[in-house]
Amino acid sequence: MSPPSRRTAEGPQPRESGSGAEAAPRAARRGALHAASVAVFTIVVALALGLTIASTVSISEAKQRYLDQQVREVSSALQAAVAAIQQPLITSSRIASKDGVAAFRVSAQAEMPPFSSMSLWRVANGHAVLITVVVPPGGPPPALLDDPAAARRFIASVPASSELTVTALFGLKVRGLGYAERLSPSEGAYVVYGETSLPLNPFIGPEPAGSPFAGLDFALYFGRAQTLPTLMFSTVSLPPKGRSTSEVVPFASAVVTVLSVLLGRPPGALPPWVPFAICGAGLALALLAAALTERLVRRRESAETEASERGEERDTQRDIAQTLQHALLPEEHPTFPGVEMATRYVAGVTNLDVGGDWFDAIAVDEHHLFFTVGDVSGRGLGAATVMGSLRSAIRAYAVQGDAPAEVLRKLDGLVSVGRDGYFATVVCVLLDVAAGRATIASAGHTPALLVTDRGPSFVDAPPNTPVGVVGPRAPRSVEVQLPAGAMLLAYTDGLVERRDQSLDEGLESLRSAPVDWHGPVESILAGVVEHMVPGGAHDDVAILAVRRLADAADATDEEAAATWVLRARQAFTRDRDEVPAARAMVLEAVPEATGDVRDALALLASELATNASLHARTSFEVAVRCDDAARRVRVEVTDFAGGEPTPRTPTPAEPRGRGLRILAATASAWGVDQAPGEPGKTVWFELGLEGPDSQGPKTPSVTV
Amino acid sequence: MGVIVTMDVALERAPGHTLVTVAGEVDLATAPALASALSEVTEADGPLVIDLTEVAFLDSSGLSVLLQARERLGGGGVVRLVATRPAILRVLAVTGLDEVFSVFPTVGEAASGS
Repeated sequence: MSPPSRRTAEGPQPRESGSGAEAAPRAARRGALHAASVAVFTIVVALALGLTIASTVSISEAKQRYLDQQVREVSSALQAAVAAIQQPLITSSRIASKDGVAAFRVSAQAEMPPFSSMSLWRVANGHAVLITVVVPPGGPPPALLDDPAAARRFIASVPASSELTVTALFGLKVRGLGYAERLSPSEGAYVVYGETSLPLNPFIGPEPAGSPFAGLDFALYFGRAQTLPTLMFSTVSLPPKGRSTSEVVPFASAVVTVLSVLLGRPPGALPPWVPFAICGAGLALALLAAALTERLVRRRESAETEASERGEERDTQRDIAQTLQHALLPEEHPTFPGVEMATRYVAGVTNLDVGGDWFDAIAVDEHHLFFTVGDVSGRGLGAATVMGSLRSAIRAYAVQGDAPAEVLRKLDGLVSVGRDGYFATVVCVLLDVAAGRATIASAGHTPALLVTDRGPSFVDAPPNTPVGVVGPRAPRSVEVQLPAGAMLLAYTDGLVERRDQSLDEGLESLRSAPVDWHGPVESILAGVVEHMVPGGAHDDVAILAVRRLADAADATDEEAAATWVLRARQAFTRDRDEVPAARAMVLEAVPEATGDVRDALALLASELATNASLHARTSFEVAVRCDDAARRVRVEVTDFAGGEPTPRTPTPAEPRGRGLRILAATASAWGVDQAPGEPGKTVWFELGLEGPDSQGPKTPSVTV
Repeated sequence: MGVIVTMDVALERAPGHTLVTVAGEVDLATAPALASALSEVTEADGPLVIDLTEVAFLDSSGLSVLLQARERLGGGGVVRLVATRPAILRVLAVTGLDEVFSVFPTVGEAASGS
């Protein structure tokens, strides 16, 4: 039993796919032979038949040639025999005419055989008179003389010519041939008659080797009729078993019929089975060729059908994918005062599934715009679902005012590469439009492009693991200043990734794209797409670009002095083991701090973290900012417990509070920020990066 | 989290004094271990010398443990510190504890008390 196959039109199971209307002609097509196969079959059969006929004809012609040849040989042997018989008759008659009857008798004696008897006759006035008969001792008298009257008539009728006259003597007791020769009148009026005997049984078998008829298979009939009474002799049994041909040939004054018989195969001819072999092989070949052709034609046909169906499926699928993609992406990004924004989605030409690329822009409040570009790994509905949930979550967190790094931290539980098989790279940007400050957090995403008066450059955001991949630390962000007219461009990796070039080359190609970076954002995106993915993107590409307009900058005089750039931001639990982690994070964020400054930075960070760890209910957050121009670092530690830390004069027995004393003594500035009505507070300090800070309060002495 | 802080404490009872050698970072995370080690020392063991030469980092949490040990053992020159690193000397100075503890540059000097 072969398993049921979809290809079997009448299989034991109904076809799973294909409507009836579609299946019916397909089945019909499978049943009928193709014209090509029929043609191949016909041609090969015709060729085989032609060859068969040719070989048959060739064999037949060879046989006929052989038979004809045999006739010719028999005929020429007969002519030779006639000559051999005529010559002694002429000689004997001349001797009789010249030397008399006695001399004839002597001569005739010498001529037997082949003659069984000879006789001398004289013909005058139409009458024949027997003069003498010569018979060997014991031999029979001439058969001709059995009827003397008929004998005289025959001798009298012998014409005087060069031709030998012959008569057949076929009786019951004797079979022979009689030959008569009459000399011309000038040589005398004699007729010499001789007889030869034929075997009583005409079937003599093959002629012996010395005979002129040796090797020939034939029968000789006297006259034209092929009857047993006129059969002179035959070397084969009659009627002939093989192919035969007959021909009447002259024999002295009479004719004989030569029946030429072919026994076996004539030399040089094709074996008789050849035509059958050719015919059989040809038929087999024709069937094989037809079957092969049929199979090839069907395979090609089915490949064409499949290709066309697959092509249709691809088109349909791509349409669906694009429709779905557009349904998942925001219809229109919000217009936001003070910025010029444009987005672009380019569907990959080679992908049929819906992709996981997206962009989004959310107005947080009148001054803050949150935008994001992300890419969920993989394709298909699963990736699209993950993308939808991430997008919604980002919107929710952004609207409630979470910073980008915090948004990334909160996204982590939503998707897990271990659990769902998906992860996502995301870049989140919170743009303070008025201040021109962009806080950028990237979860493994390709770097955003910042375009300022000095041209395009990539934003070097702190590396965080992609969403869905557990990282060693909480996500961090960077702050960049966005002067009036500057533009941020975020995109998914399909824009810069090529199979034939490295990511760095792709990034460089984007950075050096020949577009007017100060033209309209829409045309910048068009130019970038045209430059980066001229023939259509291989993978999907999502792009979002935001330019801060000059108008926005005017409204920010007050904030223009803000030069703190966020280096890192990270959340920690209140676990005491988090204190060294927080300290390490601060040191890592400010690699330029060395020597005493580094010691001081570590000490202060440790004190703030310790304080927060002891006071926070659940977690605390550490942010590191640097003012690169002023060479200062600012560390902010926010706990989520109430109350302001109070520096107290510590006593040796009362360890608490000593940390704040260290803070006050070491930091160049410090303070506590607490928003009214909100739990938690932020303790911060600033430290000069150039060296020991002498501006801070003097070290208080501790008395015992 | 990814940061692992290590601190090693070794206690050695020598004739006339007890030596506790500390290495690594002393902060909120490691202070309990130091406190635990120091709690084994009694007044009968003689002067306590705490060698901080190999301590890379010390903050107020560590200072508190040192002060608690001094209080328990009766104060007044019983606990002597050995420290040479600027970061350690600075935090002691900033908190005024360099005047509370006797601070020596070597263990030998701390043991002899001179």
